[in-house]
Amino acid sequence: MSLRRGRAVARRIIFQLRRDHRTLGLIFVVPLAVLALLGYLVRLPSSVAIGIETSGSPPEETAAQALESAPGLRVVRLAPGAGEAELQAGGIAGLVKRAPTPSGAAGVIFELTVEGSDPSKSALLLSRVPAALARSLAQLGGGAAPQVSVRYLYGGPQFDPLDYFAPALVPTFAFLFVFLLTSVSFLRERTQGTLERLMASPLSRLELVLGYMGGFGLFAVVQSAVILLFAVFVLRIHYVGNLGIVFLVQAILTVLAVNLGVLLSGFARNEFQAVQFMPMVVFPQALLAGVFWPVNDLPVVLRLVAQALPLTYANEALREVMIRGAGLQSTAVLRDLLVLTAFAGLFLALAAMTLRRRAG
Amino acid sequence: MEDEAYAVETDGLAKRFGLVVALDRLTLRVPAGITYGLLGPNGSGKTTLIRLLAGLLRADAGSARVLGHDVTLSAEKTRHVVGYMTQADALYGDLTVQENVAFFADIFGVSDGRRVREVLHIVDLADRADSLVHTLSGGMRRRLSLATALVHRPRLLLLDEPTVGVDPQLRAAFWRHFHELNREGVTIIVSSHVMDEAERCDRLGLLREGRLLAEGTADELRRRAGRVTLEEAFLAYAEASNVAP
Repeated sequence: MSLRRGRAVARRIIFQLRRDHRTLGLIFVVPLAVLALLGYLVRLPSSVAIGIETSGSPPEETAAQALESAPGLRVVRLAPGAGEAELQAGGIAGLVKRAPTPSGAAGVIFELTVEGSDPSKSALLLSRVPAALARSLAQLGGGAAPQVSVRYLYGGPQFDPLDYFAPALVPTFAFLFVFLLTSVSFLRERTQGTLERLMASPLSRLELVLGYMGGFGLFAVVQSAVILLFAVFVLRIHYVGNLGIVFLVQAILTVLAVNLGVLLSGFARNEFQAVQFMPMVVFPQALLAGVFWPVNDLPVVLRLVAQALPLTYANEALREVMIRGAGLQSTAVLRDLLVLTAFAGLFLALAAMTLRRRAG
Repeated sequence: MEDEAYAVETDGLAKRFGLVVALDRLTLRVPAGITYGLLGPNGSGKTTLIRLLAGLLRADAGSARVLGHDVTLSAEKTRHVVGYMTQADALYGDLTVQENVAFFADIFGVSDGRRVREVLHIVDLADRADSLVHTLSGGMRRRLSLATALVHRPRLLLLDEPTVGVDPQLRAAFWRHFHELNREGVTIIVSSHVMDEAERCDRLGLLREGRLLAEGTADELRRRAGRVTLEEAFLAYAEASNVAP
């Protein structure tokens, strides 16, 4: 055992790291940036928007005031008949309106409609809204028993958090594994010298990148299918939409991940640096692309960042399809598919364009 | 193109990497059908010249013609007829010997499957066709690397230090094969810093700091320098260039 030899190894590592600015950045800057973002997101004031249709009548106004005094709720007053559209547009997570009292019955009946796609919001509404309405009805007096009926726009009481997270986690996992595999693999093409040989052959840059897209894309698409089938048949997540569309979104996303892997691998000198792209690509998408925090709930600046991330569109499309049952006729789903395809094309073009320089 | 007297012609070729001058207004003519040796110490510009001729780098100034085509303007044309063997083996370790050659055959549009077996015979690797490349010895990998550069029947073969790490017996076999290719009309440009290999080349270009110090056959170079060995001749040319840069 020689302290001197051990010290020599330590010194060598310190010298190497000192010259690798990217690694130093990863060690000192990235964790702080990610922690700051995470802390900010966790502390975002979280309130769930609840709409109430009110024409100004005393029972409706009392109910609205009771909801306003309940913690964690943000009350949106709506004209009678306007609530359903607002609920479908995603502006509110739940809607309270007065239901007609059946003939012969006494008292006031309120109906709570829960949007239902986010089980945590549903749970909060179900725990606070009926209690607040009951309080308001008790204030009104009249002796009649308060009544609140509950219905779901999407999903239902059987939807658990996994049903909400699965449409976002399934594409996220597929994306990350395919991205990592492709970026390291393409880098190997360069470090083992074969890229130099290929660049001196008639193979064009676009052909090379397309070849990667085809080869890795095949495995990526099969992987997507396996993950999806596992989620549906083994984890038994609830879904309502067409699995074919879900698979299509997944397939486009993973091909996009192949192209992004090829593109970014060119900016790494070795496998070590290629792996470092993981946190830079992973953390922003995991935090901002709507996996845990809905994009619509983010502050404007972060929402703009989210809109530049491909996973945002995959998550949105899959939740649209799997929870809300949207199909290809839905403009939201079509737009998401289009944006994902455009991202895949953009990464492909950029990868091909930047290749020659990197081979040199 | 068949009638070109020179396989390679460069005129005032210059290339810098930052402050380092890799090629300094290099003018060179390589007659077709011969083996031309680029000789010089490490950093003399041999690899830069080969990479320029292979279309991997762009010259800062000057021009280069390969088999009658300008390498910058007609890169697509020259790539079909140039074979390039890099200093590194540049092989896929997780593919078999045959799969590696077949891949490069596909890339160059060689559809005849017999050609793959043929080049494996040429480099004496036919019996290892199904071996994974990472199981091969260093010498076998060099031979396979040559096979992948030959599979499309190039008319100009650029070999960057092809015999580094190769034992004397295999080295002799390599040179026998290079001369066979010459007889078939293939021009070979081979870089080396090993002087005894230079004796096997039909003509030599002595490079130093990106400049052509002298050019000719080994005998001519020795005679002109008045030295017995090529190494002594090279040193004499280098010294003369220091005196009169």
